[in-house]
Parts: sequence; C-alpha cells; structure tokens
Amino acid sequence: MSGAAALLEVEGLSVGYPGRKVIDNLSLAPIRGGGLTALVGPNAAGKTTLLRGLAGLNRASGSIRFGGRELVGASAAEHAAHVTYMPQSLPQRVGLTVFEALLGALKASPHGRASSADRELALETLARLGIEQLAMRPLDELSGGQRQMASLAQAIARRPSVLLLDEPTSALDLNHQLRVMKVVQAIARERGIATVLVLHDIALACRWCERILVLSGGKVFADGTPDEAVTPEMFAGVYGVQARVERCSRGYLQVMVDDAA
Amino acid sequence: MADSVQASSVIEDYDRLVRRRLAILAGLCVVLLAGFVADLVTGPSQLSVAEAVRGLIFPGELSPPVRVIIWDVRLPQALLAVMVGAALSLAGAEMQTILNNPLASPFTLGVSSAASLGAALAIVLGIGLPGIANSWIVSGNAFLFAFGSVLLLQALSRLRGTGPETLVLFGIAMVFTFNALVALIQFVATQEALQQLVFWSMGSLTRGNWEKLAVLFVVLVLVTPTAMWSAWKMTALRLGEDRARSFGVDVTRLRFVSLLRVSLLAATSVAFVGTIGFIGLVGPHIARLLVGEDHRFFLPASMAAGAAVMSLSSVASKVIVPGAVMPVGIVTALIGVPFFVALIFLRRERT
Repeated sequence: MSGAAALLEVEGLSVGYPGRKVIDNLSLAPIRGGGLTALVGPNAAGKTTLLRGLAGLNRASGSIRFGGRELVGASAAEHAAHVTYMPQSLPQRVGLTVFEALLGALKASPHGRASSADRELALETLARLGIEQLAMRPLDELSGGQRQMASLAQAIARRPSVLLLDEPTSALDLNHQLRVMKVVQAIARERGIATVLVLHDIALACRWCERILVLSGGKVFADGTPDEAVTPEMFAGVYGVQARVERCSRGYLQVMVDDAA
Repeated sequence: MADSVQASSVIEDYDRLVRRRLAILAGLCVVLLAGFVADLVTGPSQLSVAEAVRGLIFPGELSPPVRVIIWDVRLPQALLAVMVGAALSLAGAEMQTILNNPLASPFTLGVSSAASLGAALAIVLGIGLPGIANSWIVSGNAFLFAFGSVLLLQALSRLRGTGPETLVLFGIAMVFTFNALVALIQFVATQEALQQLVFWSMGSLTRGNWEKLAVLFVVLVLVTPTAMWSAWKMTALRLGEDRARSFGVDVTRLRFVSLLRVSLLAATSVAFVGTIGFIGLVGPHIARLLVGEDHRFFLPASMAAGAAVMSLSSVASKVIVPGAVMPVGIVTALIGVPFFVALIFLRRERT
C-alpha cells in the first residue's frame, strides 16, 4: 500500500480569516504518503492556519489535491473521508470515557460499517497505541500525556489518508514525546499516510521527519530534508537567533541556540 | 494471546457500561413514573394510588366527581408536567452541547423572557396576532416571541465569524432587554392586568387542557427522533468543534437544526405554562452526572430527569401550602436544587 500511496498536492493556496489572508498563494512540492513532514516556524508564521486550510476548517482558495481529487470546496463529509485534523488538545470537562469518545469519532459521519466493526476498529487502535488499559477511563481523569494519546487514537482510528497534527508533542514529557512520534511514524509508514505535523522542537523534527517545511510570514522559507532546511542561515532569517546545527554521534542533527542574531 | 484476552475484556467492559447506562435510564423512568402517580393522587381531595390507577385504566367504573377530578384536572396537569419537563430539559441539553456551555438553557438565554414579553403584550395591552381565538392569545403571543428569540440567535449564528461564546453573550443580552421591556409594560399596566401577568410569569400547570397537551405531544413526537438521529454528531461535537468538523460533522448545519428544535420545544412549553426556570438547566446536569455525555443516553436521560423533577415539583406545589396550589415555577428550583446538590456530593465521594 505504501508504495502506491497517493500524493497531497498544494498549489496557489490562500487561507485566512474574514478580511485577513494569512497564507497567500502558497505552492508546495507534492507531499508523499508514508513519511512525516514537519511544519516549523516562529509564532504567527501561519503554521496552524495552513494546517487548518488543508483540513478544510478555514475557507481556502487555490488547489489542494489528494490522489487527484480536488478538496478545496469539497463538503465536510468528503474532506473527512480522506483527511483528519488533530487539534492541539481535547476540551476539558467532557463526560466521555476514552472508548466512548473513540466511538464518537468513528460514528460522527455516516458510513457503512456495523457497530461491531466500529468497536473492533476502536479496540484495534487502542491496542496499536498501547493504551487499552485506558479504554474505560473518563477523559477528564487522564494525565496530559494520556489525553494526547486518546486524542491521537481518535484521529488514527478514522484511518485517514492524510493526517494533520497540530503540535502533537507540546505539553508532553520526553517519554510521551517519544511514544507519540514513534507510533505516528510507524503508522504513517505502514498505511502510507501523508502526515503533516506542526512542531516547535526542531531537533525532534529532525529526528523523526523526512521533510521539514519552514514557514515564515505565511511563505515557505525552506523546504527539504533536515540537512537542507535546518541551517544556521534559516535560524537567523526566520527566528532571529544565532544557532549552531551539529550532527550527534547517531547522525541526527542537533540545534544549539547561542544568542540573538 | 495476552492481547486478545485484554481485547475481549475491553468490549465486555464497554457492553457492561452500556447496560449500566440503560439501567440508570430505566431507573430514571421509574422515578418519573412514581412522580407522575404521586402527582395524580395529591391535591385538595386525596385519592389512593389504587383508585387513581384504576381510574386511568377503567374510567367507566369511577363516580362522576372522581372522574372529573382525574380526567379533567389531575391527568392533564400531570401529563403537562411530564411533557414540559421533558421538552425544556431536552432543549437545555441540546443548547448546552451545541453552544458548548453548561449554563445554556432556554431560561438563561432569553427564551422565557421573550415569552413573558409576548404574554405581557397580550395581557396588558391586548396586542396579539389577528385571527387567533381569545383563549389562545396569550399562549400564541408567548410562542411567537419565544420562537422569534431563538430565530434571532439563529440569525446571529449565521453571520460569519460568530462563535458559540458570542451567541451565549447575545442570549444574555436578550434576557436583560426583554426583562426591561416587560418591566416597562408592568409599569403602565392596571392593577388587575399586573396581577394576571405576574401570575403568568410564575409558571403554572393549571393551564393544562387536552388541546395544549396534544400540541405539545405532537411537538415532542416530531422533534425527539430527529434529536436522537444527531446523537453521535453531538457526541463528536463534545470533543471540540474543529475536531468534529474534521470528523465530517457539518457543525453549522447541526447547530442550525438543533436550535430549530430548541425553539419549538422551548416556545411551546413556556407558551403553555409560563416561566419555568430551572428545569432546562438541571435536567441535563442530572443526566450528565448519571450517564455521561454519550448523547444516545444523555438526551433521553435529560428528558426523563427533567420530567421527573417537574412531576415532583408539581406534587410539592400542592403539598407545601395545604389546600392551595402554588405556581409550580416557584417550586422547581426548591425541589431541583437539593436533588442536584445531593447528586454532586454523591459523585464526589465515588471518585
């Protein structure tokens, strides 16, 4: 499946809010299924807006094609059939257990599956993320890391072809960061999912993502492998800091910020 | 192997949870039924439970005075209590979900105030819709204004960029506006009209008759299934609006259709019984504490809880002052609050 995974193509895309375009006429090299693409950049660079535009949550113009199908202007249901967006967090004070919420995610839009199939799918997803033991726990009683896993389960259970994750690792400890990135990478590979994640930790992005897309002021500043995109020039130009980019003993890029540029 | 053992146990646990929720729902219905029967037998002339139940099943065997008491006085009022309780509570439950605000209810967002304004116009100034029978003019006006107030909320939600928070603020603004207008009308009202209006605003079940019951019944029968039809969408909406939309829920449409249901339920209820403040807020909260927010259980449990509190309030309104029937709108909060607080404390202990 992953070999023939469809491409996500973005051309001349503009996204914004009424009266204010944040992303203007943005085009990207096709995003392939199976790998992780990190969306990085300073605050207000338009990362979340771009992700929301791709998810169909903000009005967009231009073209977003997936597997040849045009998604700009498609209905919520059509969009949802291919693309799933995971916001930064789950709301507080929700009276649902992890399993109930997961079933809600699966049954939110009409589909042909039987209820028993939905339960199996929900269960399989929990097992895949290693959180079956949380199934009957109320969402409100979970720790931050557990909530994020429950949230990720809802997105993954829908078996999207395009997965958009908004800061999936923010507010997580090192152990949970590792778990989230590992499982997202494995599932994306396995199922050929085109995955785009907003990340703030650039070293984390370099470690797990095959492609880094640096956004600044709504424009693409750099786009390529970690080696191509993550450079001292990028840090100076985009973040306004002097930084060294060095390779660790395992071969991954590490970033050290020294001073303001 | 260990995986599959755990796997089957999750499904079993979930089945057990579903069974428990159904049992709680059944329990609520039993409380409701008990409240309903108690409502039938209490009043100025005491009936026994056996008498009341037999009178319902074999009306021909009753003596004429008892038949009149049961069929023309007690039963319409008791049924009105059940249906108004269920309707207001369902309206409140839907509002709390689609506006993502636990304080939303027909009362807190201006529907009751709008109905009062409509009633005030009819009672004090004699302004009503042309072509409406005199006996319906107050209800007709109240309905029109209540329905209109939700449409106004609706219109605002159609404006671009208006989120649920703005709707809630707008609803609260409506409460104050309508209350001020009612006060203005009260200021110019005659003594007699003023008394009538104040009594109307207190909310009373004594206005029940079979015609009104039929209207309310039809509204409930039409609206409830469509609400249940959207149960999964509303459950998904509890996970956040962006998330629900990304799951394929057309949130704008869901909110529109839901507010339409709310306007019908709330407007019909307050038009017939006047202001009943507490039910639309407390019914859903009781349901949430008992069965959580899977809307397949939450919506019916809200209706049952609202109807039960309303029935018990009706009983209380007849026993608090012996020989007199107090307006039920005064009693609902007095009955509902202890019930509600007890539930909150019970839950605290468990967790």
